[in-house]
Amino acid sequence: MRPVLTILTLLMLAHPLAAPAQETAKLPDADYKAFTERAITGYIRPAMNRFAEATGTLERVTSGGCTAVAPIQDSFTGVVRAWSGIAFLRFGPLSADNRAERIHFWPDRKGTGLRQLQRALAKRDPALTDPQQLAEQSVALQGLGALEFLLYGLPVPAEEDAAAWRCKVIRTIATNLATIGQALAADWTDPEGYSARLLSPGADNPVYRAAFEPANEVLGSMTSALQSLAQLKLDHLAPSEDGKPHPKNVAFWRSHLARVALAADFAALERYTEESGLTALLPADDQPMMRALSIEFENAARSIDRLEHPVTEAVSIEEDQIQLRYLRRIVEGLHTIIAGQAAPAAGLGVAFTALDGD
Amino acid sequence: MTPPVSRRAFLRLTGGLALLTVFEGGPAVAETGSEYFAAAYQSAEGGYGVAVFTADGQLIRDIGLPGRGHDVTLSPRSGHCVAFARRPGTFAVVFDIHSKHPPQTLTSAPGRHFYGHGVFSPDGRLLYTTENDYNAGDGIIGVYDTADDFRRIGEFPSHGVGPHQLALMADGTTLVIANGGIETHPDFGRRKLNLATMQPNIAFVNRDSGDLLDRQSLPADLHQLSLRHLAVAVDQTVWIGGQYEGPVTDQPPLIASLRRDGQIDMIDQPEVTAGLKNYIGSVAVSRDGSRVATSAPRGDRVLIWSARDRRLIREIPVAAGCGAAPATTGFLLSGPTGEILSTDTGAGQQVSGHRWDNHISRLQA
Repeated sequence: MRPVLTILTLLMLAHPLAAPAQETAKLPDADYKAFTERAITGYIRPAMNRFAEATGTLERVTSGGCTAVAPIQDSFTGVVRAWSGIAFLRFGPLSADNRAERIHFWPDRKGTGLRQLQRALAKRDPALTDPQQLAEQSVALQGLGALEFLLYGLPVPAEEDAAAWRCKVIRTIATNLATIGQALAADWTDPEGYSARLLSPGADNPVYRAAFEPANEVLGSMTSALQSLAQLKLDHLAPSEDGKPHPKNVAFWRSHLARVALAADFAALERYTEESGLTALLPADDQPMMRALSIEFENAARSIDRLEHPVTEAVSIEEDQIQLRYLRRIVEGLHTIIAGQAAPAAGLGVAFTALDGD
Repeated sequence: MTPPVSRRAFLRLTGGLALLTVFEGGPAVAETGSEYFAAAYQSAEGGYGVAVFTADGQLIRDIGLPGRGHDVTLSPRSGHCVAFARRPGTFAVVFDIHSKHPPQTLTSAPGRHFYGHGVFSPDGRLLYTTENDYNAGDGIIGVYDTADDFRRIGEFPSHGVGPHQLALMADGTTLVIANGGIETHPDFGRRKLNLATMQPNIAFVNRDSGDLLDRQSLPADLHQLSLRHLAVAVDQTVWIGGQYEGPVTDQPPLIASLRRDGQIDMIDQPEVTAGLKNYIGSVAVSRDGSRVATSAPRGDRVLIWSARDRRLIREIPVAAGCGAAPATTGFLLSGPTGEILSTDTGAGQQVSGHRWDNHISRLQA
């Protein structure tokens, strides 16, 4: 059953992803700090550790050679899932050193990564087999996009020498990802690192001054996760009105893992909102409305389960289209709850004007 | 009309921070005609519009917009004003300050969207707008003919990616364009697609031929400083404000000046820019060229600089305040809860129901 809430909120909002306009009362500083602290210890650090573990597994598996395809693809899938768990945490460590782009340069609208990769492969660019050099190459060569193409887009060369070189490239990318994963986990674990900035807002903190600002960063990453789900995925799979679907704009279509990633995106956001205690942050009167959150997440999981085909096919199959359109509405509903209702109730949210950048 | 607010109320508006009592002076510039300002806004109900008002916050004209607006530009001759959609919007609304002719809505060409800024030729005949050729990912300057119902008569390259604000130099033919460097495509909303490789620049372009005359970029370590807003002083110095896309823990310089024959000269004063969260929202130069205002909405303040010795003169607290325009004397500033503040008199007004968007423009008519 589709909850009535989604339909109602849709009717109320002309622009479901627009920022709320109301002024909001602030909560006690300690509440914001508790929320931020729970987000870090309950979700962000474990998620970064899971990404480090998944990339570490990929590196270990690929170092054993590339003849056994299944274990490599399994560990690649694990990295894709773990990446869904952190891709929206683009503040602090993930925004340093172009790490997010190096892990996954996407969307790659002009196919730059593919073109660069094919060129580098054709001339057997030695930079592709040296982790130090690879880390200095184009971001499009360094991460999951290039790896996906190598694993799922190109046939394994017949000649032993070429196959060995391909395997070395796969291993080098895996090493690069594992190195970034370790750096992310270490930066987030370090008590003097970025967590310290989030946990000690103040006049001498160049990033967060007022007590609510770290909490706003956390909540903002939840809404940006929803925005990414809409703008990078569902808008391309279930476009509104007369738009045409473009499933190849959606990450991991080539490996047929787009569905897995979609499920992991929703699961990550559910866990993030739970572990950070978003409901507990709100004044008691506002807490009951948050029950809708878990209902929406359940609906999303069920709907993704019902998707029968990879996204490239699902867009032209009516039963799957129904699920994709429904998922799109769930994202709008979740956005309404988090950005439109929870944020103002908690004295948070993206204020109108330049704060959202222009 | 909203009455002027008391000083106490104003202090509350500006976040409770005490205002300096010494206000910006500077010689008054002789004026012909009246001075007006225009800014896009969001209404209390969440709708969008553009308003023309006086320095003391009296509304002269108030027009609805089909979506969120950004900047407003004025034809020096015809009195036409154009309010542009915020990127990646596709509308621009032409209106007149005084006449009650219905506003005219322009739509960007297929495959293009507006970036939010534009400028008229000195004779008021042609309008130049920053636009995105989003399939190619190239910055474009669109050219519109006011004498032919604002028909789009051509375009030429902005000579960079993501052109944002542009201005006309005193020779009347050279456009100076801030190419912010960030690639976006409407299929992906406002997602920044090239942060790792972005290369902003300031381009000087002949508006008749479209020829690139000069182009200045930043050193490699500042390639993620998106140069978005600029203003030209009477001595033809271009003042520039940037928005840094690199890690928030970096403390890059954000404000620069540029002479047509020189290099981009950053003001490297980390002690001043430390609290600004690497974000400058608007740049304005005073009428006499002696002062430069750079707003830092994420730092809740506007900085006033001496143009001559590039020294900070004042910091004015304005909560999330972004709009800055030269006024007859000093600057007029705006903020998102409806406040209008004169740096000259210190007077603060609040225009109810108008959450001012990023920019104010000065219109003299």
